[in-house]
Amino acid sequence: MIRYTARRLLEAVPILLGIVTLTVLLLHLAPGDPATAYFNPNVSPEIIERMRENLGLNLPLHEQYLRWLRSFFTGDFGYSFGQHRPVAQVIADALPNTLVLSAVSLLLIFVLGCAVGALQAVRQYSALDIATTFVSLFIYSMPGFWLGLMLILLFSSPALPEVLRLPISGVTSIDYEFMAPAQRLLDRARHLVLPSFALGIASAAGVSRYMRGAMLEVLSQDYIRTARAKGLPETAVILRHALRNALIPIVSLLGLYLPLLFGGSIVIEVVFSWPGMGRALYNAILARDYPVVMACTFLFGVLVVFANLVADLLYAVVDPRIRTD
Amino acid sequence: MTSETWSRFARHRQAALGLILLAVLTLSALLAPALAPYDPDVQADIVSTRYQPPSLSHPMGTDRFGRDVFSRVLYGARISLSIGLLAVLIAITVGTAIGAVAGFFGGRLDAVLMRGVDLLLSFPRLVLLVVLVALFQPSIALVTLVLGLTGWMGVSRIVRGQVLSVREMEYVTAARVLGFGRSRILLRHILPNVLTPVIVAATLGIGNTILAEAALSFLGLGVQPPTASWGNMVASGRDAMLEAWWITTFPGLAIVFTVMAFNLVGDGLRDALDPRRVA
Amino acid sequence: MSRPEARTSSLVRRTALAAALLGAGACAEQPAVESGRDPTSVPVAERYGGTAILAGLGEIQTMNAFFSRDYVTDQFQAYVLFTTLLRYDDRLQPEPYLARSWSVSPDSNEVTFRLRTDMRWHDGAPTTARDVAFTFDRVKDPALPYPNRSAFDAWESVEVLDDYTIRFTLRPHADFLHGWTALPIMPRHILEDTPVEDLASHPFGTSQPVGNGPFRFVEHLPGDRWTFEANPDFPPDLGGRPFLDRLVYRVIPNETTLFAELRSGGVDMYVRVAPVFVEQIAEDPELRLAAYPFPNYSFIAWNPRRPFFADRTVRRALTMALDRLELVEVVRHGLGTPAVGPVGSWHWAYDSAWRPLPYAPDSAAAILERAGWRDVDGDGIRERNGVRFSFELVTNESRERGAIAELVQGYLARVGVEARPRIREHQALISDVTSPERRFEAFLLSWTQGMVLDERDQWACDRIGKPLQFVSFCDPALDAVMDSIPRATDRAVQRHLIRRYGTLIAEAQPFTFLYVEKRADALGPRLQDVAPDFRGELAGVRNWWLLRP
Repeated sequence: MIRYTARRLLEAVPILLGIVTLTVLLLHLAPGDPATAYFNPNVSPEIIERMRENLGLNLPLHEQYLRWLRSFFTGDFGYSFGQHRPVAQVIADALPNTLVLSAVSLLLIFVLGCAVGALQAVRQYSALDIATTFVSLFIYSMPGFWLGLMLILLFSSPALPEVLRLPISGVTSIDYEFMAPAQRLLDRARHLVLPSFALGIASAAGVSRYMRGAMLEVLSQDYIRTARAKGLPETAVILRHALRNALIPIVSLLGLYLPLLFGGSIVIEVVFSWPGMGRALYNAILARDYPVVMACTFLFGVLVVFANLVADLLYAVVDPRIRTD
Repeated sequence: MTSETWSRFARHRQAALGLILLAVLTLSALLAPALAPYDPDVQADIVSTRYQPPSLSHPMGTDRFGRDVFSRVLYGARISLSIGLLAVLIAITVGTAIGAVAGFFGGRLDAVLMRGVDLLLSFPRLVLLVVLVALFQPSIALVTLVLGLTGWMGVSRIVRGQVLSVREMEYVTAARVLGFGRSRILLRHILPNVLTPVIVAATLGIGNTILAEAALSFLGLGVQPPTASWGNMVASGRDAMLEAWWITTFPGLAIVFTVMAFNLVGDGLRDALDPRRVA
Repeated sequence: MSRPEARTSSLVRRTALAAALLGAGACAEQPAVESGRDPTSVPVAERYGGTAILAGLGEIQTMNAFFSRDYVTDQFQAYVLFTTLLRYDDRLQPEPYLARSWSVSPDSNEVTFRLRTDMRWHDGAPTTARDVAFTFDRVKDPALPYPNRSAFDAWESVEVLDDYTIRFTLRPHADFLHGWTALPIMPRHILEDTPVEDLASHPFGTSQPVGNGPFRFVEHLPGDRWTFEANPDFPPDLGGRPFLDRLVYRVIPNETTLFAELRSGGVDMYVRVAPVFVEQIAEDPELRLAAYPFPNYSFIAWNPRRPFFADRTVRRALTMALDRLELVEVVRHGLGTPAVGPVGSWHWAYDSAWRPLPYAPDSAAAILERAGWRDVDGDGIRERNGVRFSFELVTNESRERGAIAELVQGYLARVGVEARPRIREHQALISDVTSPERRFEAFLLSWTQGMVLDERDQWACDRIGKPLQFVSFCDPALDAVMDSIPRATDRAVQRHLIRRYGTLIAEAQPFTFLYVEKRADALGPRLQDVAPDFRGELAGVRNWWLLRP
């Protein structure tokens, strides 16, 4: 297992290098000079020149590249002109919010997706199966922002009783600092409900389809028949034997859905005013705040590589055959 | 498609439903000029015609400029469907070419190409889309191109896998023994075999592309008004979602049913092509 | 527009508003009373307390006044966290604020300010003349991109006479005190040791600001909110401690979510509400709209170097083809008025006898016909000498301007003229229209104006080729008028000149003047006594209070 882990880590290195290269190239190919984005009649040419220097735009491409390479590995991503502070600080504020949102969404995706999928398989061709299949396909086919906005209008509606309403924007309530620790936790959790649901529900629909297939396959296996023949109660057969085996291939989906979540976070974080990486990236693009754009793009790439690594390792743990491949 | 496959597909009720939906959508897109009761972009006497709820004269109501939502949904179908089709066409062309070359030639070329695919896959697609579209000028052509160029990696993996397995089959070996050139083997013998999974991937890909265009529109980076795409119709009607629900709901449903239809057909195709799978 | 208002401070230009409008400045409707309690019956002593939550689409990036870039940020700096030397009263007269008085030397070459002695930074240090001198020095430093530096162009040097007295030398000019009503004084003892090039990144701006205004800094969660609390030590004769305990500004980058928050009571004020919500606010008994005029007009610039636009009668015809009344209603939902020319109805010199060119598509068509533009080939578009009347109308990514471009396209089509709207990224558009080659046919943007209507950069013959002379306009008679405006010290003379200026431009129609903007905030049921006027919404923040059920 250690050797496998080491091998996988080594394999990630060229990909990480590639991510840096691609990020630099992408921004370099963009037309227009980022420094002119700070167009302002009172900004003197000297200041623009200094901005260019700060961004390294006056250097030849290969030196710019080396500069970025260094900064990516030291964590010093330069200075954000849009936000008047180091990019590293921008990231330090935004990254935890995105990670929390993604983690909760991920949990939702797998718990809900697997539960629904397993249920559908056990009750194959029942009205329940057909109805949930249709509903999940419907949700899967909705634009994420549209679903998010509908949730917002629904859960903020003055027509809704106060207890049923949920926070529709931000991470914490305004009076958060005056709350007891338990209340704070609850407050954060309540703020997470809608954005994580809006972010994850489409993927949960996807997972449920895989799970249904995996479960059906397991249920048709000999050992399940044997277990049934032995007279085990049906719930025991399903929970103890079928479910566990069906879940193994689902682990490999982790690497598939995390990039989707990170991408979706751009839209969902704007909709729910969630101060995370997706919104930081979006704002930076609108403001032509190139250092932040590069850092966010790069970090999203790194996060995906890391997620794939974790998914592979997890898979190797639950299914040892994989390691010999 | 063999007749056996076809009959399996036709018996697949969900797929049939999807196919019917798609036929209706494609027809209405093609016949939009004949079907649309109004010019989709024309605005006249706006103050008195805007925000009208659905009625007999405006089956889907009017938007904030007094334009007929039904006509715009019809014309929007042309834009959204053609963006979806074209982008996926780009994606499967690039993906098939790269996957086939990697799988067929193998060795170092394969390794390099597949690492490249891994690299591109490690960026969330929407991140790439947003960065690329925003850095350049959003236009229909750019949006389509970028959607295509960020969607081929999955296809190339599928194709490579297929090529690898087909390559070792007897008839390919036979062709090689007979001394046929590589390109001839690739084009004549291998590609036709990988085509079917690619078609499945393409079908599923069109739905995702339409959703991605909608997300871009929400961020202001999709098809630019006044041209109507379903995505920008939903995005620009969002200010009045409660008071004028019809402005967003109809194009939104158009997206949902289209994406559903492509998914149903794609699933149906996959099941039809792979009899072992349980529907 | 060349000053894209999102990026530069508009405080200077904003105050160009006139005494005329001041009485009617705040058009907030009567406060809602459905909460069962009549707000006017609440005694002043009971108005203290509570947290008011403001929200807007844009982030407040920094509290460092040297780097302020937008309107909301300017306001929080000038009215919430810091103080300015002077401020405008509600009749546009400068009144004492941090400076308790000022005197001007007989030859107008020197101004001496005497400061309050009871103003302290929130960390306890007194605010002194040295803070003012420090702020002035930095503002004049060309290495800092202070957006309003031009307000201090004629201010030459500074001398601190004692802790609370400071003297400036300057070249005399009209409305010379204006800059001091917009510049928040920064704390010298915190920022002085920072090299100028590192000032922008000083944590003072984003995480540790120390002010001396009616509110103190509590917290900044980037991308989420700024929190301020009442300053109990604020001098009583300046109003003393504000009614509110806390003032929070939240960023909610999506209009729909922001409006949903307002409606559900999560937010008390939607700063600069999108016009599309005007009707919904009117229909909701819980919500109110507080509108105020803003010195910004939207226009189409016609490039006379193109064959279509050289002739002023043709330009006038194009204006007459546009239904500007409908346009304001559709695009601004009433938050604006059709413009006559470069002098808006907010300005004290505005002539109430002025009328915009009428909306008269038939006359417009007739004028075009007479000018030789006829639809010879019957394709619906006019031609002259084989040239089709078809041009590109460029604008930036703003949804509002995109909508205007669409409308204009429709209006012009009805008189046989083809406008082809094209959206360009803002910076690219600016660089095209400011280039000496004038790479455009027609463009659509908005222009925010100044206190003194010195707009020679835009229209004077000798500025042709300079960035802001977009349409290469030249009229020697107009030049003479424009040269006299800044020199006129007498209001009556100035009024006459400004009216002459407005009339000449309106007649020549180098631009089509579309409308003058009104801005508006949407208010929930709790927040009381918000009365935005030309100074912005936050000028009266000290008097805001929350109605409790």
